[in-house]
This record gives sequence, structure tokens and C-alpha cells, in this order.
Amino acid sequence: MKRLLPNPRRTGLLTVLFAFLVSATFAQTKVGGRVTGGDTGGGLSGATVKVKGTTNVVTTGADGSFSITVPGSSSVLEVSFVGYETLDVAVAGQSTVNVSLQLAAGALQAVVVTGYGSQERRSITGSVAVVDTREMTKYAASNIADQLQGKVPGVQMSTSGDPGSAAFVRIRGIGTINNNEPLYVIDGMPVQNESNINFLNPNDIESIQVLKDAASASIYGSRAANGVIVITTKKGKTGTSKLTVDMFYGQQTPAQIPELLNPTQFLQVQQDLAKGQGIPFTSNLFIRQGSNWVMPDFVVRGLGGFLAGDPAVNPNKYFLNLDPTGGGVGDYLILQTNKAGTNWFKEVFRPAAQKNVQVSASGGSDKGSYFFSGNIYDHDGIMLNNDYRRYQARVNTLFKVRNWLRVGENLNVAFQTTRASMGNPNEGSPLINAYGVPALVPVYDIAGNFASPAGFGSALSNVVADLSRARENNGGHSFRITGSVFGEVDLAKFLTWKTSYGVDYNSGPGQGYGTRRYEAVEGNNNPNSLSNSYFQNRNWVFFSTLNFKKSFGDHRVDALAGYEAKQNYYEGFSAGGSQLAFDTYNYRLLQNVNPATFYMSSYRGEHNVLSTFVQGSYNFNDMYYASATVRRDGSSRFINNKYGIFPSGSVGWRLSKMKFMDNVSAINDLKLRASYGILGNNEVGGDYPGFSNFGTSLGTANYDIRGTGNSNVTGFEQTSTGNPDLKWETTAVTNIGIDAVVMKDFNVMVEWYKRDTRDMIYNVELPLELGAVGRQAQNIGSMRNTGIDFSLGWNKRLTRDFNFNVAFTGSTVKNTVLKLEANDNSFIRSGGSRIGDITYTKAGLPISQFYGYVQQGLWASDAEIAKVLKTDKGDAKVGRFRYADLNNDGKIDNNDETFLGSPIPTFIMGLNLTANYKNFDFTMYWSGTYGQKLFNYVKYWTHFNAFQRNRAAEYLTEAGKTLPIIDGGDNYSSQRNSYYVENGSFTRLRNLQVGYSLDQRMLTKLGLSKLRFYVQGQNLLTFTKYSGLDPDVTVSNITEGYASQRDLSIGVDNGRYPLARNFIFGVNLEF
Amino acid sequence: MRKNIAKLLAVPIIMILVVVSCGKDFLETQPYGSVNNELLATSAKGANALLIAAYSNLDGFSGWDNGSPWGGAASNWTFGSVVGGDAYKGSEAGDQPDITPLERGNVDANNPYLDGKWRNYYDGISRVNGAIKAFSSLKEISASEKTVRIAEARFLRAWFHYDLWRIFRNVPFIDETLTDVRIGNTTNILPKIQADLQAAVAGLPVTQAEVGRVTKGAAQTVLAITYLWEKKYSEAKAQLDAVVASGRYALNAKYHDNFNAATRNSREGVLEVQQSVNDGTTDNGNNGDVLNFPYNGGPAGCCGFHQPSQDLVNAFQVDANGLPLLDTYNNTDVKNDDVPIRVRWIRVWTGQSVVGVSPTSTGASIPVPTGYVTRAMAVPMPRSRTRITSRRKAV
Repeated sequence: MKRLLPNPRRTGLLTVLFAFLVSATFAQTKVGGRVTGGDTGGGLSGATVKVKGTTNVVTTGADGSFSITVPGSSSVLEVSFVGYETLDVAVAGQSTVNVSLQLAAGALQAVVVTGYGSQERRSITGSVAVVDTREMTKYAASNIADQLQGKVPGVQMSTSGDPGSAAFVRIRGIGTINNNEPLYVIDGMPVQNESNINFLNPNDIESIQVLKDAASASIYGSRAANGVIVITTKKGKTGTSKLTVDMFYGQQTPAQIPELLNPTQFLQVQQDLAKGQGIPFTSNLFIRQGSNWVMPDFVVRGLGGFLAGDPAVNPNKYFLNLDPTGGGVGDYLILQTNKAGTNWFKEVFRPAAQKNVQVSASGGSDKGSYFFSGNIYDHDGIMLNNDYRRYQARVNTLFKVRNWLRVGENLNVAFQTTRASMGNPNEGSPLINAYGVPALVPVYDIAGNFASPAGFGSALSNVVADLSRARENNGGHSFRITGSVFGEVDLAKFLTWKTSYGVDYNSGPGQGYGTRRYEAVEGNNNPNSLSNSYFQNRNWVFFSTLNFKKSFGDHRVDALAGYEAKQNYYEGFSAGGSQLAFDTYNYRLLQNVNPATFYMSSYRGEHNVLSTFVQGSYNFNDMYYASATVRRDGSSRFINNKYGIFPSGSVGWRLSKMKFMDNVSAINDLKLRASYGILGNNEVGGDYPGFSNFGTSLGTANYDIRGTGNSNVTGFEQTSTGNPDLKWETTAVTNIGIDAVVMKDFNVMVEWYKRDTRDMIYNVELPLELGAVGRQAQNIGSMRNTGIDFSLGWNKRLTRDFNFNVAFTGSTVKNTVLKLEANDNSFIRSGGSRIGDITYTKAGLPISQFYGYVQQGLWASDAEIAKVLKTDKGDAKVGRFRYADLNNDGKIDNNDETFLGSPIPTFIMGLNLTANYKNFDFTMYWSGTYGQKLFNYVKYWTHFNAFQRNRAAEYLTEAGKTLPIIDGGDNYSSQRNSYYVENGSFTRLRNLQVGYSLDQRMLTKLGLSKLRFYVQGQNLLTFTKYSGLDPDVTVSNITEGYASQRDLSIGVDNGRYPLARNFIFGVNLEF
Repeated sequence: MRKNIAKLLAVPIIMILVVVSCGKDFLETQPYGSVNNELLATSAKGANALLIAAYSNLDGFSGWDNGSPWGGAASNWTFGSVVGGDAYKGSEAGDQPDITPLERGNVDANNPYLDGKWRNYYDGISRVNGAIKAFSSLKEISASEKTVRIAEARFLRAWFHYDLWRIFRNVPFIDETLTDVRIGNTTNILPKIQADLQAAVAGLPVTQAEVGRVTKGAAQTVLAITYLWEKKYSEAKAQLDAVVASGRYALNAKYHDNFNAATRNSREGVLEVQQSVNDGTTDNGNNGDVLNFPYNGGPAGCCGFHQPSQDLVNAFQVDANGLPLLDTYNNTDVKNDDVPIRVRWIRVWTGQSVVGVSPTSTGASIPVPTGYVTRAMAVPMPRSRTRITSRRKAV
């Protein structure tokens, strides 16, 4: 701190002279005050206060106070701080000037929640990505993942258009073959065994931090190995009370419609299939006229196709036996073929609407604060009859009972229902059926009942029928209460004791009814069936922490000690039966099923964790930082090795505060940081891996030993083999990073990380000669992920009316499986399909690699086949796929299969552009994923002749060129091979939004404090070479968010929910 | 300030009490709804249940994780009829394409049907060994019942090993004394199978109260079959004579009754795998044959496996003296009923004999090229059961 006042004793006579000379215009005064941040109200330490036009500069102290000498009362102080808008304040003769700085657009809040407390962002030494929620909540979205995509470096996110579905989130690659879901902590409460956080209203969120390394995450110990997402919901602010209303309406349309065979092409293909096999074409569907075949006008189920006027299609003969218990005796179903071609894809996937309304009120005084919100969200999926609804309310309050005692609570109540959800992509899904049902088949038959695709192809169903029934017949909802109650006691000014008890209660009934599907190709005589289920999850978390915060001059010490206990308890049952006598809606109760078909089952389980933790951090003058954490967790899942200890440490150095950096004016802030620590993971996929259990099973353990023909006797089979010595899986994370602010407007963050997971828990298959005794969980193997995360931001205010912000994030990840078992040749297969397991995981390669034959065009001639496949040509034929004989043994067998590509992206990026001009705001956000390959398994159904069904138009046009010649006997070309493997890189314009806010004059007239209209487009453009509907393919098992080992099968496209473009119009009001 | 200290301390003291109440037991949890081995091995009910579970593997299905049910069907249609030439695979090229290499005789080690067979039978063997161990150490059981049950278990173990031996030849023999199952497969296991069968012959009664349980006659028959494989004809004859002499078995007056669920477990059946329906699950109703019915016509669109082959039909031709044409039967193809045949080949599920076309929508059948038909019902299955006896042409 420079002092400008001269020493009066020294300059006695000179003083009089000076004073005489400068007289009134040079009356130097001392001005003091405090600089606070407008967002938090707290003091900003280290802010710069400068007398404008001079070199007179001071920096604020720990609480934001400053004292500066100004030359005159008309001086202007220029106050600035990294991340805030610089402000010029006139002294105007005051001796105390308090300044409140506003956060710069694109800048992030100064204090963030990490661990069990909060930290100043400046002093964070771990890898914490802070998300700007102001930008985030501008986007209309149904869940948080949609808003977070591409904003956090190192985080890969993918959402499915399936309404209500969980997002797929991976932080810094895939750490283990086990469970890779990050931990979500909401208001201090870890969400247990759940990756679907749709019960949260995105608009309720105040801030999100993603903890990516050990130093930041190890305070959460177990389950932190995959990263932690810390979410804090809004609380009321002192002094401001406001009421906000947000509404939006969106219209979604399918982004791409596939091109399939039309009826004429379908007939051509049927004839070619027979010709390729060398057999004459016969059909009881198509009609022979001379040497040609024509399409029938009508089709009778079981009999075949007929022309109009044939007595077989006399409408009087039509009969549908509606006996709900099955039988279908006497059915005579006639349909009229649709020669123009039914576009089944359009029948099933069509435009749909999204609506959202939320209201929130918040306020506060020095006695307490409150925040209420309510939300109704209605999302119709583009798939017929598929929707999701959420009704949610939140109450967050805080009371200052005394100066030293605060109590509060956070409570969220959400009621969610989903109908006709597509579930996991599979061969029976509506999408694959929409591809497969031939275009000749109409949706309804001549009597208005659902038309049956029987006779046109196999393993198909009338998708419109299935989905229409799903709407009426399947229901269920979940009711979820999450919240916590807490108390904080200030034992001393520097010592706070906080205790919190939180609950996550989720329950819901479900009912499914299957009417007799009279139009089904298989199982059309199955009777109706009813199933009822109920589940309940009761989770609670209790923690108590002691927090010490004190500054001793330039030294600042923060310490935390705590204890935590949590329980995850779940139970449920299901029961059902079939052959109810009547199909009416009100008759569907369990006592009305045929008692001989009644079944029921129930389940229960629990998982408990006890933990203690200690954390300390030290900060010297905002220049040197050091911190360390140790956490000890005990889990009920392990028997002999219950406890794990997870330590971590980190250091930081603020280079920009060093003396030698004073001359480098371009760099405003530069911090180096490094951390190392160990995190744990105990998500094995079950809660009792230590026990060998026996159970009974009606179908596989019971037997009708008395020969009655309609009953069975109980048997017990071994269902699992336990491993009592199972222990924690651990991940060691090293992280080195740089944070910098350059030339005031540029933010740079670069970090390098390495994650090594050891003792990976995997359910090992025991030797088969031991029997089917289940797999045994063992600690085998290790995996490594390393890469670089970076983010670049540029924030510029060009004029008073125009400013913009550019934020670019990117991350790379390299994944390697270091070891699986002692034998390095062992591998894990996953991604089962009709052509075998598609993904293999083996030591030395990344996880989940595609496996199969290498395809090199088609066999051109018999001579070529004879030359290459000298030993045994097998099923190779001219015109079929040619596979490479990799080991040159003259035949194609499983020794010629190899690794075909990796679904792990090498580079993920997000680009966010924001601009504000007068009353308009503009936002655009691109994301891209590059370097991954995808296995387009949908092509098995659309480009090869597995089963008789409709196919892609390419099947006909590319036959003999890139696809094999059409031959009904060819199931050689459809085996798993490199034809299915495609480049999956893509760049997508995820969001584009333009908004207009009314200015102050208009608002005052209307009595509002904010009114903004906006239009927004989502998923408007996608640039990719991938031929499937959507290149954003991740795991095959999308619905079971918390299942382990999902990541063993990535990048296989089995028919995901199609991508939708969304056009939204919305309004934000604030009173 | 003193008053405040008291208030200050009250809050943390309450918290400490809550904290301490979570004791060590908190981390000791037990799974719900299942039993462990100790419990089962010390009760007669438990040991019996372990044996029942071993029986349940006879239908070839022990869960989808252990392979599809079709390869393991008790009727042995895949590994017996299709591989042996009696039947074609059926259905479309892309449906269960793994059977095609089996049919052609150029199988590779990856074929899931081999995998499924192996898993299901070794699972059966391990269940049997568990049952034998349980019965051996059980005290709450009469000596006579113990002998019978252990004999049943040894028969089942022999049967599972025998079927594996038939298909794979060199397989390891796993008995209840082994702790490490990786014992290699270099020895011929047929003598060990025969040892188990001889023990079964000695211990089993001629009839059992619960008809699903195996009998002495079954053990003698299978023992005789193993002797036939070794061409030990006199030993085989001795066993088979004993079966006939027991008086327990007789031919049914109507051949059809062997395939009619209503007349199941009749006097002609030596070893019958029990199937059941409407018993709370669809997995006990002969899953292995559920896709065997006429192709793409009739009530169910797809599938239609196990179509009788021309070879099979030709084999029933006879010469002028009514004797089979042993080596020349494939010289001419039988196209219709005009050619003299020895016996009508039928495979029936509903209890109705069938030749030709019947137009009802349940059980409609469409003639296949040979003119002979198969017929089936769609799930849920009516009462039905299958026989183990092989109906291949006699050598």
C-alpha cells in the first residue's frame, strides 16, 4: 500500500508553500469503503481500487475494505475485480464509498459449494468445473443433462428423446467395467442408487459444480470414483422478494425419416430372394398372372392374397372372435392392401408437443428466507402415445433463530408418470417393427380393427396397435419426496456445527394389462393378462460436521471434520395372472384372473454405509494453497473387508500474485494446481455379493415329479456364488491444471489427468463344470483413463449496448484396459445379438471394442473363392460378402475375426456463443463428439435378409454393389463384420435461442420487473457421416441407469429413440 | 453468555446421541428371501428339493442365461433328429442359423447350441452332486429312502454325462468328491457312467409312488444302451431281458397313446420327462419343442422348425416281403401313401392323429414336401409330454 501523504515533520516550510500553491483544488483526502459482489453480497478480497487517471492503486483486504487517498472530491474511483464488471464511482465528496460490483456476463460466481461446505472459487486447487446456471436455465429443457451438455469439459452427456428417461453421463471417460454413474449430491444429500434425476426441476437450480478429481471429490469417498455432480437449489435472498413465472411451449418433429421399400420394390425383392436361392418364387400372398406377379387387393389371414371380387374376400365373411381369454376360434380377418404404401415410420413417429409452466416465489429478511416453486411439465414423445408428466413443488426455507443458530429445510415433491415408454432398444421395439412391417400392410383392416401383418413377414407386430394399447393399458406413477432438515450452530465465530438429516422416498404402483393381440403374428391366441406391481425405496442420510474457518493475518485455515451414516432400503412386489373373463377396464383386478395362472413375487434389500472424514486447507495470502482430505467408508456390501480409506491432497500456486509477475500486465490471474488422491467404488450391481444363495424358481428349479401335468414341486437351485473377501474398487486420480485470466477478457483453463482404477469388481464366470451357480464377484483387473480437459472463454463488452461471450470447452480421453485376469488372452463379451456378442473387452485395448470379420467387398467369381478359400469355402458364394482370411489358412472361421473399431470418442467439444444487443439476447450452442465408431446393428434388420420383412430402399438399389446380391439363403453376409462399423463423429447445433426483454419503462407501466419472450430451436442441424437415424449412441442398456457393466457394450445402435427437432416459444416474467 | 453456552452445547449433545446410536450392526446385512447351503443340507425337505432341482434339468432348460431351450429339448430334436438326418432344421435361414452348421456337420467351437448343452447338463450334474452330498450326511431320513434317493441321483448324473458323452465324447466326469473341477478330459468316462448306472440299478425300485421319479427299469435300459455302444451285446441283452421280465412294462394297445398327454406315463414308457402347464410359469411346458410346427401358415407366422426329412420317410419303405430296405432306401423318394411303408410316422401334440390337412385355425397343418405333417399348438401349451425313447430306424 503506497502512502502519498508526505511526512509533515519533514516538510514544515514546504508544506505551507505547497498548501498555498495547490490550495483548494488539491485537497487530498482519504476515502475508505468496502467492495462487495452484487451476486453474493459478500466482500471481495483482492479487488482493485484505482483513482481514475492516476497510478494510484490499492487492493481490498480480506473483507473487501479499502482505503485510498484521492486528490480531490471530484475524483473517480475505478473498481475492478476478476469476473466482475469494472465500475467507475464518483467520490463526490464522500469519505466512505461502498461499491457493489456486478458479475460480468459469462463470469461465474465467486463462492461455490464443494464438499460439505463452500469455497471461494479463486482458491480451489482441485478440478472443479462450475457451471454458469444463468446461461443454463435460459434453455427450455426437461432435464438438467440437456442443459449441461457441452458446458463442462471432461463430461460426456447424451440424452434420449424418450420422455422421462435418464441421461447418460460419463465424467472423464469410463473408469471401470462396473458401474460408471457419477454421484449426484443435491443440497448436500447424495442421491442413492439413481441416475435419473428428472424429479428435479431444472429451474430450481442455483448452481452446479462437477468435481472431477480426487482432491475435490474424495470428501464424498465411496461412489466418488466416477466424479460428483453437486447441485444446489435456489434459496431466498435477503432483501429481495420476487415472483417469477416461466412458461414454454415446444413442437417436436422427427429429424429424419428413413427410406424403405415401397410395395412394388417389396414384390421385386421377394422374387429376387427366391431367384438368388435358385428356387422358383411361390407365394400365397401375391397373385400370379401369367408370368407376372401382382399385388393382391385384399389379404385374408391364414389364406393369402386375393383380387377384388374374389368370393373369399366377401365382407360378410369377416369375423373376429373377441373372446378375451384367447382361442381366436373362427377368426376370418380381411384387410385391404395399401398399394400406395403405408409409411409405418410416420404412423409411429410424428410431431408432438412439450409444455412447461413454473411459478416460483422467493424472498428473505434478516430473520430468514424462503423459496417456493411449482412446476407442471408435460412432454409428449414423438412416438405415438408415449408421454411423460411431472408435477413438482419445492419449498426451501432458512430461519435465523438466533445469531448463532440457523435451521432450515429443503423439500422437493415430485409426481411422475410415463406411458408407453420405448424401453431399451431391442428387436421387438416399435422402431424396429416400424422398419419391418411391409408398406402394403394398412394400419386398419376392412372392419376398422387393427390389421394383422401375418403372412407378410415374420416376427412383426402392428406397432400402432401395440402403442395404442400401451396408452390405455399400462399405467403407474412414482411419487418421490427428497429433502433434508438441517441445523447450524455457531459455537464460536470461527467454528460452526452443522447437522442434517435427509430423506429420499420414492414409491409407486404400476399396472400392466395385455389384451389379446388378435392381430399379432406370433401369439395372437394368447389370452389377456394382468400384472400389478409396487415398489418402495426409502433412503436416508444423516451427517454431522464441524467446520473451522479462521484467518490469522495472511494465513487462512479451513478445517472440516464429519460423520455420516446412510441407508438405502428397497422393497417391492409384483403379481399377476391371465385369462380374465372380460376385457373391460374396470374388471382388471387380480381376483379376476384364472387362479391356475396366478403368480406373485416380492423382494427386499438394503445397503448401509458409515463414514467419517476430515479435511483441512490452508491459504497463504491467496498465493499458496494446500489442502488434504481423508475419508473412511464402511459398506455393508463387503463381509471381510468392509472399510476403505480414501485420502487425497492438493496444492496450488497463484503465480499472478508473485512479484515477478507484476510487470506482466497481460495476465490478470494465473494459478497452477496439482492434486492426487484415491477414491472408492462399491457399486457391484447387487447388495449381497458376499453370500452364496439358493433359491427356488418355478421354471428352472421346480419339477412336476408327480406327473400331474399342471403343477410342480419346489426345488432349490444355487443362484449365486458369494465372495466374502470382496473389497473396495479404488481409483487413483492425478490432476495438474492451470487457470488463467488473460487480458481481462479471456479465461483459460487447461488440465491434464490420469485415472487408474484397480481391483475392478467384475462378476467372473466360474468354470461351467461347476454348474450354473451364478457369477462370482471378484476384484480383478485394472483400467486407465488419461486425457486433457480445457476451456477457453472470451467475454467482451464492445459498447454499452452490445456484449458477447464465447465459451469453448474440449476434452480428450484415452481409455485402456490394463489387465483383466492373470491370463492376458481372456476377454469379456457383451452386447449380445442375433449375430453373437458384438463388443469385446480385452487387456491392452480400450473397453468395449467391436469384434467380427473384416469385410472386403463381394466375392466376384468362383475362381476367386477357390483361390483364396483353398481349404474349405464354407458358405462363401459369388455375390456374398467377402471376408478377409486373416490367418491365411484357406478358410473363414472364428480365427479370422478381429477387432474392428472403438466406440470411445477421442475428442468432445462444446461451443457456446452468447450476445446481448440492447433488448435482444442471442445464444447458440454447438456440441461435437469425434473419433468414435458405431456398430449399426439396425442394418441387420434393414439391409440383410434376416426374417421376411420390409427393408431399407438401399437393400434393393445397392444389391451387388456395396450390399450382397439378393439371395434368400444368405445368412453368411449378415454375420458380424466391418460393414456394420461406421464413422460416428458428429457435430450438432443443439440450441439456438433469440430473446427479447422489455425495457424498464414498459416494465414499470406493466408493474413487472422483467418480461422476456424467446424462441428457441433444438437439434436443428447435425453434421455426420453416420447412416443411422442418430449418431448419439452410447450404451445399449439405456433404461436401467444404475445397472452395472452397462459400459461393456457401447456404441451399438440397436434402434434408439429417433432424434427430434424441437421449436420452442417461451416467456419469462418476473414481478 | 453462560446461558448461551448451555444452549449451545445442548444441540451438539443431542446430535452425538443420534450419531452413536448407529452401531456396528448397521453394516451387517443378510439377503432376504434366500437360503444357504447349510440350511438345505440338514433337512430332508431341503435335500429333496435339491434333487427335484436336478430333475428339472431333464427338460433341457435351466434359464436363458444357460442357452436357449431348443438345443436341450428332451425330445432331442436338434442334436438327434436334425443332426441324425431324420429332420430338417426348418423355418427361415436367418432364424436360429446356428443349427445349420450342426445340420451340415461343420460346427465350430463358438456355436451357442454346444455351449447351451454343456451348460445345462453340467448344471444338472452340479445339482445332482449337491443332492448326493446332502443326502449322504443327512440324519433325519430312513435308510431305505436314503438309498433310493441316492440311486435316483446317481442315475441322473449318469444320464447327464451320457448325453454329453454322446455328443462330445471326451468330457470330464464330475462327481461329488471333487473340489477343483478342472480335471481334464483324457479318460473315457463310459465306465464311470456305467458304475453310476449299476449303483442305480441296485438301489432303485421297480415302481415309484411319484411317477416322475426314475425306476430300476430306466437304469437297466440306459445301462443296456451303453453296452450297445461298446458292442457288448450279451451284457446288453441281460439288462433288457430283466426289464421285460419285471412285468412292469407292456406295449400300449394304441401306438398313439404314447404321444397323448391324456395317456402319459403309460406302461410303455420306461423313462419320461415330465412337462407341466398352467403351473405358474410357461417354462415347464416343453419349451424345447415350442417352435416346432408348420411354417408360416396357420395361426403362428414364424418358425416351424423340425420338419420331417425325405430321408426319414424313405426309411420306412419295405420290400415285397415287408422287410426294410437297409441300404437302398434312398434310391426312390416316397411322395405319397401309395408306396408301402412299415408304420405311419406321426408326431402329435393334441392327441389327434394327423395326416393331411385340417382347416381349423387351432392346429391347422400344411403338408410339407414329404406329405407328412407336424402339428402343434401355440403357447400356452396344453397338457403334453415327450418321450425319451429314440425312434430312429433300428440298425
